[in-house]
Amino acid sequence: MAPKTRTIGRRTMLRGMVAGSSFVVGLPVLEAMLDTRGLAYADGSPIEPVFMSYSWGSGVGNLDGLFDHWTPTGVGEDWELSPNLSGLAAHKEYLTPVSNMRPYVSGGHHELRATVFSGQHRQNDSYNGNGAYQGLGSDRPSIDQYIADRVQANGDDSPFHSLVLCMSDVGRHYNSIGRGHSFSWRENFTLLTPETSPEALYQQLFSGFSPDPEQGGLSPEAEVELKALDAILGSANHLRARVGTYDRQRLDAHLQGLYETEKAIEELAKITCELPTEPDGSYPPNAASVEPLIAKNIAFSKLIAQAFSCGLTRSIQYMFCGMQADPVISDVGATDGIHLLSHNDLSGSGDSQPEMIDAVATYIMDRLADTLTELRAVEIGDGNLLDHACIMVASEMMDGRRHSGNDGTPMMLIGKAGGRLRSGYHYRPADDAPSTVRNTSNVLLTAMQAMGLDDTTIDGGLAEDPGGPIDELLLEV
Amino acid sequence: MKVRSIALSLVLLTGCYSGGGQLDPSGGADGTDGDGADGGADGDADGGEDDSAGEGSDDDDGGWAVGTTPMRRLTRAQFVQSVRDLLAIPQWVPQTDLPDEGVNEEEFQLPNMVASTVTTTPVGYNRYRIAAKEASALAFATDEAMVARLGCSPTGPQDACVVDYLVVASERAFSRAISQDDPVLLALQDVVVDATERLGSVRLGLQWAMTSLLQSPEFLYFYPVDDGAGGIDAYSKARSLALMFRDSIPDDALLAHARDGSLDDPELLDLEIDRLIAEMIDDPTQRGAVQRFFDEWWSMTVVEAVGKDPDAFPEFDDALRTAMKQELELWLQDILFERDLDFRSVLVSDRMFVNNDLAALYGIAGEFDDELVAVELSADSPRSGLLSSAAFLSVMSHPALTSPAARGRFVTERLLCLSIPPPPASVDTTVPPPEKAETKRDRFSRHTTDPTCAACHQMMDPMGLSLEEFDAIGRFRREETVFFEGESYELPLDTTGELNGVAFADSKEMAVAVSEDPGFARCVTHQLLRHTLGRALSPGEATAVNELEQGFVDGDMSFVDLMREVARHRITNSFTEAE
Repeated sequence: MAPKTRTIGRRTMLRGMVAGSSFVVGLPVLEAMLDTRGLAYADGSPIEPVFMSYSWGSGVGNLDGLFDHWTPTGVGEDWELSPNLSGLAAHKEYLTPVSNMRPYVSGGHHELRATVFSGQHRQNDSYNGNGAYQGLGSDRPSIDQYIADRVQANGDDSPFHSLVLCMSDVGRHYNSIGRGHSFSWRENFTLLTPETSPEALYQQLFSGFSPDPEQGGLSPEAEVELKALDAILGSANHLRARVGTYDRQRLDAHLQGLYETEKAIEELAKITCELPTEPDGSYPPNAASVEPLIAKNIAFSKLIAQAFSCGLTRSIQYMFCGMQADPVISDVGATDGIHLLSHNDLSGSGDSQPEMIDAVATYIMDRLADTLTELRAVEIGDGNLLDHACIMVASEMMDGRRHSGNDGTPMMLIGKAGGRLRSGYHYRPADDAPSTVRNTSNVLLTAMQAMGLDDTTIDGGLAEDPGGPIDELLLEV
Repeated sequence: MKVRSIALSLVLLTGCYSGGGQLDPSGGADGTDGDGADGGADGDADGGEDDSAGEGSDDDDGGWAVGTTPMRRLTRAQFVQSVRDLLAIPQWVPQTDLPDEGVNEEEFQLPNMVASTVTTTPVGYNRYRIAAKEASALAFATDEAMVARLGCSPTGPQDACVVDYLVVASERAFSRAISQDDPVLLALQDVVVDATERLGSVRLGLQWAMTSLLQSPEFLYFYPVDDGAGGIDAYSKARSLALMFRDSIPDDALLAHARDGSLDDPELLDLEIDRLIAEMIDDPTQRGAVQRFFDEWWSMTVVEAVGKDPDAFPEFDDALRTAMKQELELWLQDILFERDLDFRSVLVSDRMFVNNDLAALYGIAGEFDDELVAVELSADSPRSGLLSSAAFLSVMSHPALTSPAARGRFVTERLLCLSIPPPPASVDTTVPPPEKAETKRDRFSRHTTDPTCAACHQMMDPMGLSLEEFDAIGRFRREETVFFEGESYELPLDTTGELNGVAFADSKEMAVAVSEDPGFARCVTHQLLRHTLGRALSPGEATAVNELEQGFVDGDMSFVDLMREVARHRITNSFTEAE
């Protein structure tokens, strides 16, 4: 597949298809096809917004009111960035910090992650049908998966249901392998292992498929691969006839992956899109758990921007690092991992820990700023990707040293979601506001509404029910 | 020393199980799970993650019937080795990450033990797909490569040369008979015909057919076939043995014995087991599956992912880390295969393997270069095996500091298979900050004065604190460096303790106590059996554990013999249908 000359948004391109043959058009994208505000096509169909949840484990350095370097000052439209958010200054018009929210659940990393990212958590440990411990999680899918499910059910034909990515590779192998290393999961708390390699993501998105734009259809290789995938069903049927109920569900999960792959091959064949530059080199951690995260994040961010702008997916979960993971951020002078820094009894370096955690939090937001810069560089309509994105930013807890939901949750929405989402705004309910108002699930619901879903509540079985989407942050389109 | 067999009853003492070597045979699948989310190597408790220990039953927790034969997904290592052997690409290493194989730290169930529980997500499926395409493209890269694999030169996509290859490949990959009209075979033949037509060569046709085969559930999952008499059929025995001894699919001999049903003959089954063991002893390249069992059981798979504080340990680099891992492999194979020693030698060893870097770290005098060589340990050496190896001590430490909790918990949970329940949710699990210049033992002791905490801590702290003799990369020390109010102090270490009534003065004596604890022999039996079956054990299977353990301790405590007995035991070759 030879590189194409210019990037073009997929849905725009689809509307430029004639009788099954696609063509490549230079940017700026077909302004004549857009309505006057650039938020919809001339025929009235909207440019669909894209969703991303951005997360990191163990919170920010905000211990015991020593300092609060996370929460912005001022509220509404008149607000100032906090020290942790200072690196995002160039993107302030797209930011909507949501402060003083709480998940209303007791517990540690795992209960809080489940609640903040899905609105629900499982009350007890559970075991799956073959007797395996599944841990504390959620029976609802995480927000990125929920939104992907809903937009696909509403007829979205993106080749990839969703993507799950992680910047840091540290924590994947160490300690509880995998259990804390994801902010994305399916029903019944099946965690989705994130992709940690930009190279592998590139392969998955751009190399594994071979559409034939010259013919406007599937390439011979793609036709053969579909045949090869169909051939797998015989083996699945043979096994399915013999195994028990639970194992049949596992086989069905396997086949779900097969069906999604087939769909991706078919849908990708309809897309004409510039191939991004292949990431050069890999980014493994060294013997001190230090990784080249600045470069790695930019490599990932370019691919994220391309995946969105080419219409490859509508939902991405991107995490900086997992919970209880120990990447060492040497760029800010840390010699201990992030999780260790949050346990003063374990660190041996003598780092001034609240300050070091604080510096790491600022660093994480700086990386987010780099990601936003890449998204903003992609033109869509008469705006950019951030105008058409809804990004939910959160860690599962405010401060890893206390790991309690009672301290609030660092959260933020970013982007305009095609005009549905207010931005450049600091939403902060009062300390004495009722639980219905301060509920973190309200932020999930706001994101869902911004993505065009009609959800007004989440039955999370939590101590306190959410009040609903935050009206103040939602705009009529 | 003769080890007694211990009845399988649980004794509940203030939240902790106690008593030498008592073991929950279900490995926690009944709710007796251990610590929360942090897993084995951390040891701090981030909140009461789990519900209370020691309650519930299998049926309450998801309806898992006793001893049911589950469908196992190949572990990553099994997938890679099976693909290599099937396609004759022995050097192949997948460029893509394979699906997460899962691990259950809480119940010290390792990848192969949770193989019956993992589910493939769409992301995981795509990884299999990419790996399958990679491997097939490598195996059928040229016409010469194709002819080498087929043993003949096909004239067309429906040539007998092609069909014969597909029959044997799918028979081997799926471990079942493949008839000429099997739907799977016909579908693969269709792929060859279609691809040959579209892409212009039989070679590419075969490449795509094998890509399909590698993504087939019968290859990626192993579900034995019922022989109708409570056992598994000959083909299933072949794959079970291949997985246990080779992490792979059946070799030619196993396949032939499966095909003619001769593996159903117990005498021939024994001969095949003996053959697999003999090959393992004679040929170091055949030991990968056994090495991986130990790497997983002892968390040594992560040695090369361990990071250390460069200020504290400037010498800790990639080369040292690699040497640590290699040392453990050479040392273990020396005990298991070269010398076939009493298995307790893994804790009480007279020999280590060092190169120049490791000799410096261990304080061993002599001339060494990059090559790892065996050195006999002197009687006054503080080292004696796994627990004093640099690899173990580095993994079970933080970047700058040791972790007595992680090390102690490893001894209790991994080596003795005792579950330590998580701390009650109401308890503050933070180790108190130093009040003065004091050792970790001093701080721990203030932390554990609460009797509800003490019972559990007593099960792990003494072992972990005796290992304070070794720093976070495994260097021997007599003093602990303690920071307090900006000053550093060198404080003498107290390494004494007690394990189930056996007192020890230092970590070397501690290792002896662990090796002679009845729980140790029982634990290795239990772990190997779960690993072999690819599942947790149900309480009804305690008899099998007892039998195997008894044979092990009554014999020479040879691990190779234990493998033989597990392989031929009825539990390994039985079948119970799932609901």
